Amino acid sequence: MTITSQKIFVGFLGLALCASVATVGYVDASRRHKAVAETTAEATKLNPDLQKGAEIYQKYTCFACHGVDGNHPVDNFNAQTAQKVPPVNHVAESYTKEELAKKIWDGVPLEPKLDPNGPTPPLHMPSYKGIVSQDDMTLLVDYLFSLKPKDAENLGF
Amino acid sequence: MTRFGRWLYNRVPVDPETLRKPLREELPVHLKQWMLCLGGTPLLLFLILATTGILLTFYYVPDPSHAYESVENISFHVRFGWFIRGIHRGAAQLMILTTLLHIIRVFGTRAYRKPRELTWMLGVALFLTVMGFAFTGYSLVNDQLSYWATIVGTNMVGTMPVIGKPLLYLLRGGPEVNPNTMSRFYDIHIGILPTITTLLVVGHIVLVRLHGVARLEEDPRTETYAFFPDHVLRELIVGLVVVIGLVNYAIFFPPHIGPPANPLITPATIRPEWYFWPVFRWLELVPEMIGLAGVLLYVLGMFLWPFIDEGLEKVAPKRHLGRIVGTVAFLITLGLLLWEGIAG
Repeated sequence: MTITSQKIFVGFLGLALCASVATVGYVDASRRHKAVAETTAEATKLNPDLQKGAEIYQKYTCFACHGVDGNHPVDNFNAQTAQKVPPVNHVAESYTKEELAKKIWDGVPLEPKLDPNGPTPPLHMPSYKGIVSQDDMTLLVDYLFSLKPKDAENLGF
Repeated sequence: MTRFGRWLYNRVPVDPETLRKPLREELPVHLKQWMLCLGGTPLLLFLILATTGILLTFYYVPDPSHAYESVENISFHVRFGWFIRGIHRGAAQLMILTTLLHIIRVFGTRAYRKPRELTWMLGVALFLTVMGFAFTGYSLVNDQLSYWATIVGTNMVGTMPVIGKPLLYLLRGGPEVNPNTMSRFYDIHIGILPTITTLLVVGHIVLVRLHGVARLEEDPRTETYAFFPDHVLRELIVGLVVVIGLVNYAIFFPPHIGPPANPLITPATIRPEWYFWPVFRWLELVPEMIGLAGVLLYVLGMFLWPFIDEGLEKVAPKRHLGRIVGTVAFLITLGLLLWEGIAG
């Protein structure tokens, strides 16, 4: 094998290594997604209160914007939140339960714009004051807090 | 010389030509065959194992009440944990395999002959440390099989005459496998063995470089080729194939873990990992003391092989007695391995 053909071979192997490493990233993301979904499903299944919270999440159609699992929100053009409706599976890290309940009751009448000169984002968080009762809100907030991935603080290598 | 080169030379007064000299080393042409240049692969694997091993210590807890849980956490919850453990596990198996192949190749080509006896002895010592790594590393998983394999493995040490009992106490930190055992095995695995291995690897490489690569017996070719870039490219190709293989092994065979260790339930079959199968089968076939003496003689024979071979050559010149003895030993080992693999 000549030096040139060896160099070409090394190049091909380098590409194969890059493809393999990219596959590792994909597999890790899939495993993580599956593990989080299983953990959430397991927690909801075992706890009747969380099950009720999940039903409230369905009843008030929160899933329509935030996604069935709270982690797959729909697009919201020109919104500061990465042009998407914010996901709700990490609310436990950003709010206290009281703050979150207040946010749901108050809503966000005007979604901040990403480009101040651009159009107003089409979606905003409506107010649920007078719609969701105190008891339902407690169950809903507990459910939303339970969506936090089990290994959220575990960043890996 | 560049400005930076001059600055560096003033602080580290080593002639750059001295550093470039090893790159120009001429190697015998037989090294162009893949099977004859396997020495670099275990070195690469050692570096991979050291790197992934350090990463695993970030999450591994060397305590019997948490070890299993931490391995489970690494394998299923920590991001890329499955990948790092998969690479570590795959590289460990491959390390044993490639070290064995390298030993077989050096044995087959009699590259251990005078003046390279010490290079061979350091190589055999390296193989023993690799086996030590494998045994201690497997026990750290602390699932049911590895726990019982640790008991059986350390029991074998205890049967040795005179030093058996003290050595067993030293390894286990008591008469039975207990919480002290794990911390001792952990220290051996991440501290003592890596230090010994690094020193042995350095010694082995220095000797190989000082003596140069041995020429093949009965090979009339006198041509050589350059270490750089020709041989470096060959080693790079082998290295890349190994790394790609390991990455894909971790993807398609992600690491798993058995049920947690339970000292009250003895598994139906206790068997070590494949690399200990020949010893395991041998000890099942013969009485304990004879079996152990056989293993010790085998290792001692491997270690002193260059001198034994030289002696055999003097006793019966040109009869290739050494090659016959070696082939018989190899076939017996392979036979025991296959026997245990099929019947065990």
